[in-house]
Amino acid sequence: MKRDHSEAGSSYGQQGSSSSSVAKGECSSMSSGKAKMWEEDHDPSSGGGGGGMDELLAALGYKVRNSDMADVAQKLEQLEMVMGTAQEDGISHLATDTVHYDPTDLYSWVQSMINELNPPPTTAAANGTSSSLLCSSQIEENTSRAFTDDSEYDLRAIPGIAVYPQNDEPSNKRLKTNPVPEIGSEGVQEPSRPVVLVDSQETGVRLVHTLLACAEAVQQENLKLADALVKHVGLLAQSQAGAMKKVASYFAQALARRIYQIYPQEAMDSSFSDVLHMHFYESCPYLKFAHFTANQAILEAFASATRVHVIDFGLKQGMQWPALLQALTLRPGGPPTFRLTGIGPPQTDNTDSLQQVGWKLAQLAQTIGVQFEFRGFVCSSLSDLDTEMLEIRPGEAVAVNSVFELHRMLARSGSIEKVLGTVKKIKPKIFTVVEQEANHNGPVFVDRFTEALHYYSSLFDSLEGSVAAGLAAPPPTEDLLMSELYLGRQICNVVACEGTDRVERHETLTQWRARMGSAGFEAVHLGSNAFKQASMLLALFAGGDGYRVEENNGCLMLGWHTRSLIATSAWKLPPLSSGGES
Amino acid sequence: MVISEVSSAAKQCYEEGKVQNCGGELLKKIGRVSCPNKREENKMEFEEGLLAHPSTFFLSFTPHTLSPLLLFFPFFFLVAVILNSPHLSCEVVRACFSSQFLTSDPSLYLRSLSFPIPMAESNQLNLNESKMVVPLNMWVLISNFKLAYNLLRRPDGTFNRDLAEFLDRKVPANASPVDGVFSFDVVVERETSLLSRIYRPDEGENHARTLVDIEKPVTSEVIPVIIFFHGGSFAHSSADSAIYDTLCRRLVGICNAVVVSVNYRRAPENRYPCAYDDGWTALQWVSSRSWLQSRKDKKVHIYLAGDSSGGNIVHHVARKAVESGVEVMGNILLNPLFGGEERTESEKRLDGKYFVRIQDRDWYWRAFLPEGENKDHEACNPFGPKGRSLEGIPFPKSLIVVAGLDLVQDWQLAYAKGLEKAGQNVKLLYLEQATIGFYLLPNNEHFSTVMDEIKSFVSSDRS
Repeated sequence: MKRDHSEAGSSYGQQGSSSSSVAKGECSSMSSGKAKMWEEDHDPSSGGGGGGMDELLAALGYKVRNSDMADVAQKLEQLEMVMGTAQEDGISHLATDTVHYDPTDLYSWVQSMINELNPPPTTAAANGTSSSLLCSSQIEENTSRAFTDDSEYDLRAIPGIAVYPQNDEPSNKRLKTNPVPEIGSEGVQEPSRPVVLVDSQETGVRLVHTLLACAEAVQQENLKLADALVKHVGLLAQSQAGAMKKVASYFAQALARRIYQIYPQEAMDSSFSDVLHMHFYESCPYLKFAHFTANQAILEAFASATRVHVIDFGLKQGMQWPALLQALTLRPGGPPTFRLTGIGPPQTDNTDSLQQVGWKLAQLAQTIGVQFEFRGFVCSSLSDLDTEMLEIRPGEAVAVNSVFELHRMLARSGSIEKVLGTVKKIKPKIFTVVEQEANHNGPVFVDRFTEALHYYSSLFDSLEGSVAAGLAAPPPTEDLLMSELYLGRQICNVVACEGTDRVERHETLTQWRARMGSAGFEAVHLGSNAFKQASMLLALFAGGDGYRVEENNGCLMLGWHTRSLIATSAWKLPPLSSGGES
Repeated sequence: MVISEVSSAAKQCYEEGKVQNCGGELLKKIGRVSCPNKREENKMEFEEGLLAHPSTFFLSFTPHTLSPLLLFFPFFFLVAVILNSPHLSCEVVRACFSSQFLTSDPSLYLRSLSFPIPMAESNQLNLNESKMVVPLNMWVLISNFKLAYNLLRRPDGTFNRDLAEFLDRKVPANASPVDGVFSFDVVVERETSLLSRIYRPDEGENHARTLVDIEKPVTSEVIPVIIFFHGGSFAHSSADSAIYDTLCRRLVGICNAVVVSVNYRRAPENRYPCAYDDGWTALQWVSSRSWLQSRKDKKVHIYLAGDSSGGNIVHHVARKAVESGVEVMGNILLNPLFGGEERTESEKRLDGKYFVRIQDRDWYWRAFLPEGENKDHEACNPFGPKGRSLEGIPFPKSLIVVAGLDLVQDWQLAYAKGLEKAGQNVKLLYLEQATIGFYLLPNNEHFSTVMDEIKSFVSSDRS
């Protein structure tokens, strides 16, 4: 059954090009609106799902299957969205860069442009270390070229090599949704998707049980048992495929570190962290979503300001700001003067990455005509910040932005209060906060472990999912491998570290809400416009299905299937307290 | 506050009593661009704050003076910044050039732009509005054109003609009658390679046409000959575009007329007045064909028709015809493309809502009008400040079709009014819920309304 799906998918995919010659011949003899010819002509192999062509459009030289009409409309709408958001010349590159195969076939024509806007990640060969680390060479055999239609959806639900059994290992037939009911609950909640029962299910369940048992043993400080179990986890993980295998491996590795007390040196290399961060940015929509939603809120808060100042609690490579700069240039009346204060950790290798990022942003601002000022701030903890250092100037509108930074402040008591106090003194127009939507900061180790196992399973699933969506090239890309490494480090920190070393102290939106509320902040509603646009853009840029945007009391969440994974919230000071304090 | 190595350098400066020279010393130590712009009086105060100030590498840019240079020579920009700043020594200049800045890759950020810009609330697109008023396949068809046309227009005013020709669905002439209509292409004028495609109703003999057959005199007592100018904002489509081939065939069937579809030259390669000249040439050619003459009065019963830019051409060709004494029996203008410098209410209200943005309209006018002319040129705004009234001129009767969701409607209505004011015979058909291009598919009530009107408009002189 699975094979049927895959074949239907690929033959459909070829249709666009294989039928183009037919279409041309058709065109010349058509001349009068004899639409029936089209119907007879179209690829019989895809006829089962399709229905006939729209006769009226066929008479005008365009083939669109009736069943595809809504889909084509949606894709056109998405492209239109881009045209609307892009500047005047925003999409003219599509005219030159896209290979326009067969403009008769509107479906594939539109699809080719969507693909062009969302190019597959570079297929640069993964470097040796990461591929051996992750043992993921098997996935390279997945050569499906997938399209976003219904038959493909089923295909994608099965990550990795499940639908392309390349060898006889039973483990290869694993299906994502089923073997680990504790982890992937989609199987239960979305019964409409086909489910294949395979014998590796048992191994999957055992793997999860063993992981949990190991965590339990760690908690009880039964290190001998934990040692035995963690070795067993390693073995069981080898018989798994895809996301499950990787997640299990990272968790096993982290457990082993905890057991043998080989702690990772967290702060050793923030430049490498930045590299991983970039790959994570490239390979999946989470950071893009975070930047987009935060920028949206900032843009609205800056509505009429002529001088604006953004304080970024974690500048990294500054990927968030070009889009905002560009959006500001589109403002009626021209862009405001733009100050950016970028904060980053100290670098061990004496490089001056903050400043280099500043230069590059300045260069960009220059080319798009925004008056730009940059300051880089090196500090090892946000709690070291002081309002005076930030040199807030009278009359400027300030936005404070934190993407995945605040939870680190929970490692030292009093830090988060200090940071929030500083933000209050800054009196920003808006304070945008993006955080992981999970509680990895509970007092009980096993709870943290279980929660993290759920959370990162969904994240890894989504990474695989976007690959299977056909937008990425089949072999695991460098971006993907490095993103897994990025998440793997977080897993390691959550599981292996304790005390002030444990900085990945993610908490849920509800917890943050309570904290922000008691610190005297008021929630800013991110609005349905942001929601609508974020959803549309996701459909377009993340390869669509699987990712889900949700609105939660004015905050926006991005998740994979039913699980929310990150949350953007925006805050301001109530008018009274902002006037009263200071 | 831990400010890494910078803070210790600054602290050292401070302790060594080099506060006055803080910026320069620090720069030598760390070899970076730094432009401490603290005011003198502050220096003594910031015992605590000192740690922060020198570490803030401060870059003040004045983009407008330098931007053209920077685009091409980032080097110049750097030098200019450095030379503008008295605090900086040659050492710093060297440090700058040796730094990685010059080799860094700004395209990094361009990648981040692939995730689009957030939009302010006011810019929000209302895609669904247009979806609600037209059938889905119509929406797909017109949105497809909208998308393709967006690709083809370059911001610099040039046009991607090669891709346009590839994307345009074309149909050859077909001398075998299909649904009672056959067509053939004729060369109207060699010098400009002007072609026209002629559609004739098949009069019974259902066999392949020969050269003799196609120019066989018409047999009807009265037969209207509709000279059709296709739309496409002067830039798109041609007489052999499938959308217009189909429309012309429908006109033949519905009106029992001969249709001559003119393949006029298009902008921006051929600006004003090429399209009008071609229209005039085609009109002269048609009026001199004896085989198109109605039997009753030995006259060719010519009607001019066109949509969008074609409607505009109709007016200008008719005007020329009146001046030259060639008889035209009526003008049919479907959503004609007119405009003017002023922004009208409908342009503001409907901008971007129903397939068309006002900025697109402006692009086409820039592409068509002579260089340096604005939209009050007579071609665009025939009854505007530079226009000429038609008062006292024997202008043909006009049927003007205006779509209520077309942002150009205020100009179309103004045109109708201008004709009326000049005492001309005007029939205005205002279709409140119609959008541009509604006549391309026969699956909406507006299509049949308009076709009925055209039919009676061209049949009024039949006996």
